[in-house]
Order: sequence, then structure tokens, then C-alpha cells
Amino acid sequence: MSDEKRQQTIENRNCPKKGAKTLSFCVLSSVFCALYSVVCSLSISFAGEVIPETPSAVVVREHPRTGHPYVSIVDPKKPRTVFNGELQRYNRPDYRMLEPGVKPRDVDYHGPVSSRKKVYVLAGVLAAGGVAGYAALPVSAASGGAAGGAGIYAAASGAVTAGTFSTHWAMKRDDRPDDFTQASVSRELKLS
Amino acid sequence: MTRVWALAALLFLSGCTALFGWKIHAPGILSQNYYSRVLPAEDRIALYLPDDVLHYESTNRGGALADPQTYYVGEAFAPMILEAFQQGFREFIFFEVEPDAALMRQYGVQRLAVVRIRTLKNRVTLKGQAVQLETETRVYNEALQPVAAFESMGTSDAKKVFAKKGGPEINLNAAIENNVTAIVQYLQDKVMSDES
Repeated sequence: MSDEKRQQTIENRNCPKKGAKTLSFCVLSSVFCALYSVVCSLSISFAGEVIPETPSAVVVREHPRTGHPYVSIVDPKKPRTVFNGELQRYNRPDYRMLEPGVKPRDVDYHGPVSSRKKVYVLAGVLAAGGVAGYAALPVSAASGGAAGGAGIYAAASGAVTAGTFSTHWAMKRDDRPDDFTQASVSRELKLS
Repeated sequence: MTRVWALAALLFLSGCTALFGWKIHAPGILSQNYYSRVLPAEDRIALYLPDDVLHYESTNRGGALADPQTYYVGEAFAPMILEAFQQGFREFIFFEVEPDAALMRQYGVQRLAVVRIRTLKNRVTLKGQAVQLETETRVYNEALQPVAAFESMGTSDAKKVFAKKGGPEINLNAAIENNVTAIVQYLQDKVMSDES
């Protein structure tokens, strides 16, 4: 062998040809495909459980107060009204309002309120308003009122008086200790 | 005349008293305190609220001579516990439909919490008012078998509640928030203890 041919042989050994590279890639990819198919077939054969579909649907709803979305499972055929449709936005409550001396305006409270004055004014109007006031009564009261409207008005006046009296009486009464606490407690129950 | 008075008394006792009392609707939203007290857990949990929870009302006036009060507990409790679960768990699913085992498996729900309101205790005195909401929670697994049950109490008290505009509403809101905090924290502890 000449020196030139010997040198070429050495170069071929150190650096394989392009065809050899392609061949090795094909072998590797076919091995990978074979392994992948085996893994897939194994996973299919082991997952023999079929999850039945139920008559339900997934919807994303908005929280009725915050507007934050949440996932809800619903029955499309029997929709259930969990919350009223309207979105009521309130500021987050600040419980410092419950501390003595702190007034609602100090914490910028804009939530719902229940005023006793309103209903007492209403009661007064009903008691003094005669037929006009009587018309504002609920149906249940009005249905029975045909026979005894005056009695109802008298009762309404009595309620106002009794409410005032009870408040006054409660202010005088102090026979129970104030042992109130603010707490969050959970206790385990035995399963029955 | 006696009949008239009897009819008036009957009407007064049956429904007219509602005219002269307090109708207390809580804001139904958690305070910022909750977000600092409860950190979200990396779990998937579902919640189901029966109908009686959504419409729960209490007329416990807290004293024989206190003014009539109607507390609309359910309408505030439902959005608050929903918000509490949203914050308390990374993956939260709300079941509007009554859950069964097939649904649990279809959506990959490992734990389901069903919450019921037991009672709202109320105590009105000269100095203030204390309200306590008691609930019972049952936790079910994927096969809808009960795995845990617990009761929770949330209490809030304050002085001169009824003298403040919005006072009873905020006091009720605080009691509900304390209750849902207890529920979520217990669930997180239960979930964590199950995993460990």
C-alpha cells in the first residue's frame, strides 16, 4: 500500500463518511420509535379503566362579591341558582368598626345597614295613617285587617311602645357578665 | 270586640312583628385579615353547599325582651365560604350539582367538603352583642365515602353594636368570617396531615 492510500485509510477511520452518520441516526430514531410505541402500548394496556361521562358541564363563574372567577360544575339540564344574578360590590369590612369609640364613617363603611328608626317611623305612620297607612301593610296583614283594622293599628302602636320600653329596660339590666370572646374553633367529630 | 282583639293579637304575633324588627344582611365579603391569616395550600378540593345553607335564616333575638331580629345568614355565608376556599386552595371546584362518585372521578376530585349550618347563637345584653355561628363539615373522598367530620365555631362580640350604623351587619360578618377561617384552616391541616 502506498503512503497516499494509507493516509486516506487513516483519515477514513478517524472521520466516518456522511452515509454512516445518516445510518446511525436512522438506527437511533427507529429504536426510539420502538421504545415509544412499547411504552404507549403498555400505558394503554394498564389504563383499562374507562371514566364514564356524567351529564354535567364545567363553567367559569364570577364571585358575586369580588368578581374573581371560579370553576363550577353544573347540570345543564337542571340549572341551580346558588347566587342571585346581580353582582353586589362592597368594600372589604374593617372590623375596627366594632371597637368602642370607632364610628362607621371612621372606617369608611358602605355596606348594608338595618336601621331601627326606619321601621319605627313606618310603624308610627301605620298607626296614625288610617286607611292610607293600612294600604302599605303586607298582604297577610291586610287580608285579616278587614275585620279589625283598628286593632292592628293599636297593636302597631303597642309594638312601638314595647320596643322602646324593652330598650329602656335592657339599659337598666346588667345581671349577666360580659364574657364574650372572638374566636375561630374547629373540633373533630366522630364519623357515624 | 274580643274577637277583634284576638285577631289583632294573632296577626301581631304571626307576622306583623317583622315590621318592627331588624333585618340584618351582612356584606358577605371577607376582610383583609383573612388574607393575612390564611395562606393558600397546594391542593385540589371541591365544595358543595346544600340548599338549606343558602337560605338559612335565624330569628334568634338574643334575649326575651330584645327587639325582633332576622339574620340572613345563608346569603352571606355562601359567598364568604366560596371566597375563603378560593384563597385557601390553589385548585378549587364548586359543585352546583349534587356530587356523586362518577362526578368526583370524572373531574379528578380527591376531596369534597360539604358544609352545613347548625345554628346561629345570639346574645344581646346592655353592653353589647355576641353572635356565634356553628357549622358542621364533612369531608368525602373520591368514592364519596366520608373520611372526616368536624364542627366549627366562629364568634364575634362587640359593644354598642346596635348603636352603630351597620354594627349588627359587621358583627354577623365577623362571626361568619371566623367560622370559615376555622373551616379552611382545619381542612388545610387535615389535607397536610393526610399527605405526610
